[in-house]
Order: sequence, then structure tokens, then C-alpha cells
Amino acid sequence: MFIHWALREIHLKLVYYGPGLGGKTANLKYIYSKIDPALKGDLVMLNSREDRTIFFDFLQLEVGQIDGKKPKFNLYTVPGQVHYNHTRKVVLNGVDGIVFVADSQREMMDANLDTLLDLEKQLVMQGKTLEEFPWVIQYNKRDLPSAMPIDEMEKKLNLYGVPFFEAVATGGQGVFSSLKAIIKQVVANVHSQLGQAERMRA
Amino acid sequence: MNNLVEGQFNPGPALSKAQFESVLTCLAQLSNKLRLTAVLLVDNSGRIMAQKSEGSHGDQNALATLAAGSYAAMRELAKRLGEKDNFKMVLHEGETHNIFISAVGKDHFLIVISGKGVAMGMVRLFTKRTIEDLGPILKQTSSESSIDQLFNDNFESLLSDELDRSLKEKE
Repeated sequence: MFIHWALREIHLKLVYYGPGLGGKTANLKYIYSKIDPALKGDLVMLNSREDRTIFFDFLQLEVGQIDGKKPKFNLYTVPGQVHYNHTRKVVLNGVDGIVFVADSQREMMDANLDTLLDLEKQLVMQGKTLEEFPWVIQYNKRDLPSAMPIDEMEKKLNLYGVPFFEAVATGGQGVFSSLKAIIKQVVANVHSQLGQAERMRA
Repeated sequence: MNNLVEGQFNPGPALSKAQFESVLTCLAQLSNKLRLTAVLLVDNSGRIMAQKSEGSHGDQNALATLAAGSYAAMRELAKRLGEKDNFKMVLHEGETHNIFISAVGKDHFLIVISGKGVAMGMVRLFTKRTIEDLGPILKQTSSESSIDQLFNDNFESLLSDELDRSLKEKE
């Protein structure tokens, strides 16, 4: 989080994390296509020739003034392919909340697990843990025939009981509910930590 | 730049009004001296702290984020080639504009965009001086009001209502 007092802006960094071709970019594309132009910046995509994310995608959103303040949400995706480990580290720097976009196809479960472990490692390097950090899971590609049952995916991936959403990101299902949930979690997390800090001072 | 609740919960960096004004003055001086197209002070995550630009050059946030990515990638590349942690600048010489990205301490950098008519030597010289001026400003401690005035109960519920209004799900 970054606070710009002079402009009354509160910046939150939200990262879409998950295995390659899981639908992270599809989330940002859908959000970009549906948001009022006055509330969004350009959708930046850094892709390879094969149209795969090579560095990150970026989109800044606003929701107007709230109580005299301007919250701004900086949405990023990371490249999902395993060998872009270093790039993910750069993008995750200073992250406030994560949407983990899991691919529901049964054959992708190992990739989901590997990516989740990778995320945990990256967070630990920043002094954070998945247990305490704000994150939600989006089970994407629910429309595909090989989609695993949600109960089974939950047992394997949702070890900390975080909020989860079923999605078909290309069509928009579950996209905004995941986004709203992570924003609310991040704000609630800041609020609760402020409360703790206040109690310690008292 | 400073932490607002020192020794307690650290909500992250913040820029005070006084710092913002001082930074803007520095950027305006640099911009006027070199007749720059744009100059932006950005943190390592690509967030714009302050900017001064002539005319419209598209989405400045996108520009700042791309510069942050480019800078981070070049720094990592330099490290991998055995460079010490003293990576300082990236330069792009284009057909109509030059882009000069230069470190300001460990957490920020300046993006200086100039027309082709401005000599790069001048850009580097005056940017270096501006960076020397910005260093102490960004290190100042804040006398800004507490963060809990910014994030209160009211804020949380109003934000929630606004999110429901702005982000309407297509079912």
C-alpha cells in the first residue's frame, strides 16, 4: 500500500497469480472491457510472440472518491510459465493481495500445486505467509468438461480456508466477485492491523 | 518517504504534502531548464509520486509501470552479469524522444523524457543535480496525520458499496 497524502490517494497492489494459461490475463481483459472508461487506465500487456505473458499485464482501476479519498487499484498478472520465476519475484514486490487463478482441468492440478508452492516461497522471501496474507482463490475454466469437482479442488488447494470463486474468466463469470473479495480483504486486513497497533499503543 | 506508524504496524510507504510540494518544485525546475516533454518521480513498484509534463502523452501510470518493469529487469540483468548493486540508469534513444531512467536512492527513480533537440549530456548533468536535491526530501520524516484517519470504519463500508456499484457481475 502506498499513501499519497497530497492527492488523498491510497494505492493498493493486487496480483493475479497462477499456472500458465490459467486465465490471469483473461481476468484483466474482462475487467478492462467492462469498466467505465473514466475509471480505468490503459491495459498494458507484455507478451511473447506466442501471445503468452512474458513479464506482466497491468491495469489501474479507480472507483471514484470515497469519504474524500481516492482508492486506486493496481492490478498485475505474473507470467505463469515455470521459467519466469525471477519475473514473478519482481512483479510481486510490494503486493497487498493476491487472486490465485487455479485451472480447474484435472490435468492441471499438479501445475496448480506447484504454482501455489512457488507463491508461498515468494511471499516468505518478503516476510509474509499464505496463512496470514490476504488472498482468494478463483477456480477458473469451470465450463470445461474435464473440470474437477470443487470439493476436490478445495481439499487440495485451499489449505487456509480463504474465500473461493468459481469462474469462467473469458465470459466474465466470477471475475468481479473475485476482484471485489480481494479488495475488501486487503482493506479489512489493513484495518485490523491498525486496530492491533492501536491496542498495543494503549 | 516514511512509515506512518513507526515501530508498530507498517502500512507501507507514504508521501506527505510537504514532500510532494518540494518534489514538484525540483521537477518543475528540471523541466524548465531542459524544456522536457515529461519528468516523473516513480517508486520501484511503478507508482507515480509526482510528475511534470507538457501536453498529453497517454496514460502516465502505464508509462511509469513499464519504466519500473524495464528498470527492474535491467538491474537484475546487471546483477547476473556480476555487477555490484550500483545499477543507476537506463537510456533509450528514440527517433523523436529520448527516455532516461535514473535511480534516486534505492526505492525511487526518475523518468526523464526529452525531445531530440536536447543534448543527452545536459539531461544527464541536470538530472544528476536534481537527484541530489530529491534524496534528502524523500528521507524526511512525516508530520502527517495518522493513517487511521484515512482508513476508518466508514471508509470500509463506503468502499464496499462503491465496489458493488462499479463492478457489476455479468452472470
